[in-house]
Amino acid sequence: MNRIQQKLDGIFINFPDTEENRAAREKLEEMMYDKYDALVAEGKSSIEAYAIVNAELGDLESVKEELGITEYAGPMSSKGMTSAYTDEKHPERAKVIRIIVWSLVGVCGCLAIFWALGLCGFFGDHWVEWGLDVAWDNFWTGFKRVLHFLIFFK
Amino acid sequence: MVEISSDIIRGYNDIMILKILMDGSSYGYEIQKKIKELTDGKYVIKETTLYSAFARLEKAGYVSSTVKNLEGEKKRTYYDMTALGKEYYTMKCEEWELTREVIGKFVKEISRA
Repeated sequence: MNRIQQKLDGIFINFPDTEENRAAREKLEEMMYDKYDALVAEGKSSIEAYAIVNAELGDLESVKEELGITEYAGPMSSKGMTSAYTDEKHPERAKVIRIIVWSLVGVCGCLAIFWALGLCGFFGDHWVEWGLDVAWDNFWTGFKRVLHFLIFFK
Repeated sequence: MVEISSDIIRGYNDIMILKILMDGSSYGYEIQKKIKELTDGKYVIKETTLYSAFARLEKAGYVSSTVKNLEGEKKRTYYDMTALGKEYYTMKCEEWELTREVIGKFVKEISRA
């Protein structure tokens, strides 16, 4: 019998404790135990009964949108961190998240380029020392070199 | 062996459930068992599909539910068809007749070819 609980625990691990999710779990549990008890009463062994219950349970993923049940929005989600934000029900939220993520990627990318250019001395006449204590010098030198490069080619 | 298309049958789970509820109050496993028996085992409705249908039908006011306490801590949810559910059932049956008529014409064409 505990295997039914284990099965449900496994399914609902990705679902937070909300009213809809609790209701879904309760009703599925009711039906699964009813079937299990009936099969055992018919003469099936515990293992056979559980195997049938498990095989005929179905897939919660395919009905979750219809039921309005929600998954965690974090790494616990079976589809990864962005699944909750790419949901068709939250297009605006997904758009904001995309803008934030790509802005961060852009800023980090620019900083990395400035730092690399500052460090390697590709456009300049001197090398800047490696290390976190001079990282800002590297960023700034790289930024000036990019500016110089753009102005020079204009 | 040909299997029933889940896409097609999904739209008609409501008819099956409501037909069984026309005979009186029933619960998940009993409905599932009756569907299996009536279709000679050709269609087994999954628990997740059944629960999804119950939730949808109840939200629309086509069925009502009552939780009954059984022996021990066991509970069971019984479903009943509402007057609105009867109207919906009739409408779905008419829809099926039309669907069968339309699709039937094409199935005959393919059969002759």
